Amino acid sequence: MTLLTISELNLAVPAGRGQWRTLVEQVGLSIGPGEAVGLVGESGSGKSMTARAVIGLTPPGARLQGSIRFGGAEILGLRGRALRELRARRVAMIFQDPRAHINPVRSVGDFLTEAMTAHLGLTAKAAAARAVRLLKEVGIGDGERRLRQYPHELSGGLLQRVMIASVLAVEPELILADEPTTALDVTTQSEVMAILDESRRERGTAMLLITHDLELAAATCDRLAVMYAGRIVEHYTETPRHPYTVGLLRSRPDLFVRPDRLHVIPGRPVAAFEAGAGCAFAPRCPHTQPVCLEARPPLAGDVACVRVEELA
Amino acid sequence: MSPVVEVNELRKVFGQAVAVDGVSFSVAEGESFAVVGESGSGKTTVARMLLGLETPTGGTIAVCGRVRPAGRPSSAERRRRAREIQIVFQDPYSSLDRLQKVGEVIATSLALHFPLTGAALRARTLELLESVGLAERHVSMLPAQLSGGQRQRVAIARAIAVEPRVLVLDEAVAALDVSIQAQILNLLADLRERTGMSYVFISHDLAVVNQISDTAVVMHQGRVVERGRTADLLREPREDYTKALLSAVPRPGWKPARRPG
Repeated sequence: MTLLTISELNLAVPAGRGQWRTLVEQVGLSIGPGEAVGLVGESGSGKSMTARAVIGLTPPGARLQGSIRFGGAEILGLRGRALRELRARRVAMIFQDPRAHINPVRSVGDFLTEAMTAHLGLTAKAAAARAVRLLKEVGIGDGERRLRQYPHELSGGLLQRVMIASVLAVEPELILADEPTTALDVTTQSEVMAILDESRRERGTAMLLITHDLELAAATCDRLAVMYAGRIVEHYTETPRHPYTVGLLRSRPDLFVRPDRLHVIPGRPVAAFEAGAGCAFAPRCPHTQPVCLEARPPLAGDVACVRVEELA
Repeated sequence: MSPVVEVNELRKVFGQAVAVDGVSFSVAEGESFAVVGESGSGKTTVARMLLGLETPTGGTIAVCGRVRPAGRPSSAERRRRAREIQIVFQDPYSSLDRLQKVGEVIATSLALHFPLTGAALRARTLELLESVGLAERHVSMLPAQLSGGQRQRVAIARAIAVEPRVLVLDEAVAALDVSIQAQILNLLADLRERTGMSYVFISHDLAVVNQISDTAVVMHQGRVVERGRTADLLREPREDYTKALLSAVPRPGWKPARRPG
């Protein structure tokens, strides 16, 4: 049984004069209860937009097609009360920059207890006690004092833990974590990922981890989906096969090995609306042949590359 | 080899907070030297003091064998320093003037330091842009028309235009996509080979530091906790803090830990 099933998702935003800019194209992805899936890509790949579409956080005027089913029900295009209900109780999102997503003029206590009193029916006192317990769970010891503090008094790492505590507070079935550790130090990243991992194992929460970091995703997720130019180009668990994923892994510097020159993928990543007719990666791919330029390669056998078999 | 940068017992205090505390190091001619640390380690404050963007509370900085005099530098002194040391910042979106065309960014810097005008100035500008992998069509573009990687190339071209002896790179590849990061790291390696410039590479990313630097110091809470050849530091770290940093880097088989180290 799957918890979330995204199929044939297309997302375009208006670009003026009746034109549309496609950001997400034919994306299909599913997550089972308690499962962790990594959605990996560079800037403009559409990974964040895909996650945002799940809870209706798409840009104004965006045109969405396809289907997003959650717990068996269609949630694409959900509005009003039903959408608020979904966001409040069942699907929660962690953003890259907690400072931009936590109200700076309200205390940490207000931020943490609001959802509990409004949606879970807790009294203010019970909510405060629970907030202190949750803070402890995410590694913040002096909870009572923290509840009285304001966001500007906390470091980025602490504030991200507060955001995670607020997400755990509503015990969602799915957490969408959008680059949750990108703005954090490596030692803090390790700790934050451990907290998310722990909550997943203890509560069975499913997680969609959106990141640019293939190593991080591989180490913390059950399986990975790699996006390029608005499309998923590959699903994999152990060894990637798509030339883009292989190239990305090879171009990343290593802790111990130091080649004279790093492997390079020429050019730059493009968004879906910038891609030509064929494979969007073809202009940067070392294996491109005329066939690659004819049409978008279908996601056959988990890899969207017409040459994957001969390259293996 | 005589050091091009020599920093001795450098200290910086902001109000009550000690940002940099007794930091000493030297960088040899043509060497690539890394300052590794997390946020709050004082690494960026060290970079800013090297450039003269912050005044040290104590200690000395010598660049190209000249000890920096205390107090406000004159404009002649500043121009002289600019020829010695230049910087590339992390964020190519905010470090360029968004109303200045790419060609003008480079030409302004050139005209300030060399007696170049007209065709000669244009030719040198183009030569510099080509050396960082840009082309003639980029000359008349505004930063907003460029990608992040291209902007960082412009920032590098601007910095090397005055032919400095030392280039400080403050998290200069941290904001770039992985595929672009590799291109810029290779470009930096090429430039150093060609010009013999020294690098002071400020970074939190140990893999990047391994690729770009010969020697390194690890900073923690304003102090240098470990120093040595980069390869040795990463293979056989001695200090607990360096070990903790290293073990926090995701890699195959890595598991996130609540208490790293």
